[in-house]
Amino acid sequence: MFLNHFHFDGIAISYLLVGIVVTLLTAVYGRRTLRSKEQISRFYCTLALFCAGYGITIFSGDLKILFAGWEIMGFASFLLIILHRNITPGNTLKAFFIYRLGDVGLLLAMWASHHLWHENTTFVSLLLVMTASAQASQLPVSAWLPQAMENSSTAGNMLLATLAVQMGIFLLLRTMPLWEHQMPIRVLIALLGTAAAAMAAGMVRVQTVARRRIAYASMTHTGLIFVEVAAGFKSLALAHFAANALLRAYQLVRSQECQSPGQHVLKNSLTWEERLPKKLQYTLYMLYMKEWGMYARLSKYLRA
Amino acid sequence: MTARKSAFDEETVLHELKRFLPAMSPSRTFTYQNPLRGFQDRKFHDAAREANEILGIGTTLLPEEYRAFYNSKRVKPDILEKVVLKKKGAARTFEWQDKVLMKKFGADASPRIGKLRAAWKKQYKIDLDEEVHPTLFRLLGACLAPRTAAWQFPVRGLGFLDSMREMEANSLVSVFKTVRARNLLLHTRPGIADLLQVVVGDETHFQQYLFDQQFAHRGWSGLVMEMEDRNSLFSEGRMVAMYDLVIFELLLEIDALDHRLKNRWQPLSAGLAEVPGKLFAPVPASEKHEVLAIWQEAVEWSYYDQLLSRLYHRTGAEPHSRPLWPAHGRPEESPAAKAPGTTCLIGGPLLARNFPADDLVSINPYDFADDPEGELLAEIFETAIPSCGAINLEYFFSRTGLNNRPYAAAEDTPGLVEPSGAKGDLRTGLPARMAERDVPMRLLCVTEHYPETVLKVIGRLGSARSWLVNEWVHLVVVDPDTRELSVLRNGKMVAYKSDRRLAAVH
Repeated sequence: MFLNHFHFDGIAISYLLVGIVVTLLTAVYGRRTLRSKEQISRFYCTLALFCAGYGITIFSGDLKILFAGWEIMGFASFLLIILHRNITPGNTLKAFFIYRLGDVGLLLAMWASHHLWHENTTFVSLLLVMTASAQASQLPVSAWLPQAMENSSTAGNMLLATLAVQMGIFLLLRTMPLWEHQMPIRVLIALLGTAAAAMAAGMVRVQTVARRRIAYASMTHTGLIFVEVAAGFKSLALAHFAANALLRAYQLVRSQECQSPGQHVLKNSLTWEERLPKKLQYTLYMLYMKEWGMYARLSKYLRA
Repeated sequence: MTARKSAFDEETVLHELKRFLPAMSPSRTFTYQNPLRGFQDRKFHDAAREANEILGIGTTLLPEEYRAFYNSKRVKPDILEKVVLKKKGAARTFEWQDKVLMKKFGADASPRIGKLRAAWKKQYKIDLDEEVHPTLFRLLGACLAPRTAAWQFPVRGLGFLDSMREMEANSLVSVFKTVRARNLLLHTRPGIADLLQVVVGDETHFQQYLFDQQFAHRGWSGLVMEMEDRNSLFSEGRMVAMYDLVIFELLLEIDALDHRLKNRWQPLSAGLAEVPGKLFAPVPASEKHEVLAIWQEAVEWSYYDQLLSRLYHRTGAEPHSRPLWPAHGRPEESPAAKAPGTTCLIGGPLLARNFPADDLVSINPYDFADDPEGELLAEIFETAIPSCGAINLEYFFSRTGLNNRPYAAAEDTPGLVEPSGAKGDLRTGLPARMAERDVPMRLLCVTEHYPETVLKVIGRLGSARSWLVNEWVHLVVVDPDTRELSVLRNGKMVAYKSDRRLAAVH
């Protein structure tokens, strides 16, 4: 039956609740910040499309339905990024490529799960992990989110930074039965998460642009959630996801609303980085400033 | 290094550059300046045309926008006719009216700025902006807006370039990807000309290349310029100067070229297929420009005419406070979003009461009877006109610039040091929210004195003179005896007649 393709459980409920809050917030906020009528109507159409994709994905009972929702969502995310129709080949298209990469992973996983189910679950799991990590802006293709957020409007960013990115975690949670008995996969997920969290946590500290800061903060926490998922703490991961999503949405709104000069109080006390020896401090700063060369590398591979 | 005797002089070029860059204030208080101050020695419409063609600044509305004003009766047909008549003469009025109202004009050609530097893309298929800007902006941001990051730029108390040098000397990770640029920074003290020799080659192109380079991120450059000019020791006593910015950007360019092309590249001028024309060569007036100038005049005088028509026979009558523009033309949301008025008054209270209060941007109490030689008037001109004019033009060009803001983002970020838009440059001009609903109009300055005296006063003026003579501000003089009005046009006082003198009183 048709209904068999859908599934309703705790994970779906958590994602549904967070999704409702964030999309409502985005809808209200988009109305206030977008400038032209044309953009507003474009924005709401895309928002509706995104919600449809989101809904289908979170209630999906199997990979096929999930893939359908995933595609719609990816498409809508891309439309959100280019809301102002300012397509720069180097930057905006990056997100698009990453999404496609994720799709390929998902498609392959679907195919493999049909044909290789019993022989090789590791392969399927690997593909799923790859997709999840691309979507969640984790390593190795982690640079797309900050760039996409920099180019997009705030309202669109809210959806990207909170919902779209967190779908990576959703995918992991949903497919947990597949990989939870494979230790190597769990270790891999945990390692990916730890590495991304460690890198992004440093990058948050050197950013001067609020949007990028939020993007990296979101990435840090998503990394931590990866670790939690890998450890099997499902409820903790869900709570963490909800808190992360809502906090980022709040920060994004705030970053736009009040930017008074007095907001940043000059701290006289040294941060821990500043207590490091000079050489180490400069090196680390430069490393984080250059974002570990991830940007450049990603741009290089994606250059047509 | 060596003092070259050549056509290229760093100081002069940097100075020249600063005249044209938009002034960006580091704090969020706007300091008003004429955005086109580099063109201030031209007539207003010529300046608008040149700024548009050369630097790609939007200086007029689109023809369709003006026509929409006409259709909604905000531009009066008779005023438009008068403007066309004045500019084109009776014989060609009909022909030009047709052009003004009907003719379709294509989109603007791309501006001259950037053409030289675009040769990199053509010759080597390399987009230097994309290679250099992300790193440059991030470092500039870290240096200029340090309090926004939790971990601040570690070098304190040095200029931008020296900070980078210090960083480079002590860090195990380099900003650069290749050795040459790093060595140039660490072991030599190259001048701008030395680096341009490497990048561009031919000295005749140096200035244009620098303009292209700096205008590719005019917001950041404008910010650096402002901070240097005001000598703001921004944070931790860190100074930034245009010089530092240019040197560092050139180093990054060398680095990017070395990295991407290895040794397969030569200075830009070596393989230049077509030499782009001089940046500041005169811009011929096209039909479109003339039509736009006519529209702008018509918009302004349609409005001023209503104001001025109240000045006749107004001795005891009650001034009526009917709004002059239809209400939807004014932003009604918040008081902060409202553009300042367009009239600057220099005269007694009798004059002031003829104007709607919300339209006045400044009232300068003045009595012509106390000042037969106009010395006081000259003083008022000197102080009031450049300041009011600058505010007015800032709104004017922020509004006209909306249509082709180089980095039109979907929305506005209120913070100035927050890059907005796709390429990470800072947004120039006022926030769109403040500018978008306003109709761009030049300031109208009204004073009460004898026209001949006012002309003499203008002849004696200093900085305010170019504002008036080049018509960046309209000046209307009320003759105290006859109550006749005259307008300053092309340096002469021309009698102004309103057709609406009777119709205006309901």
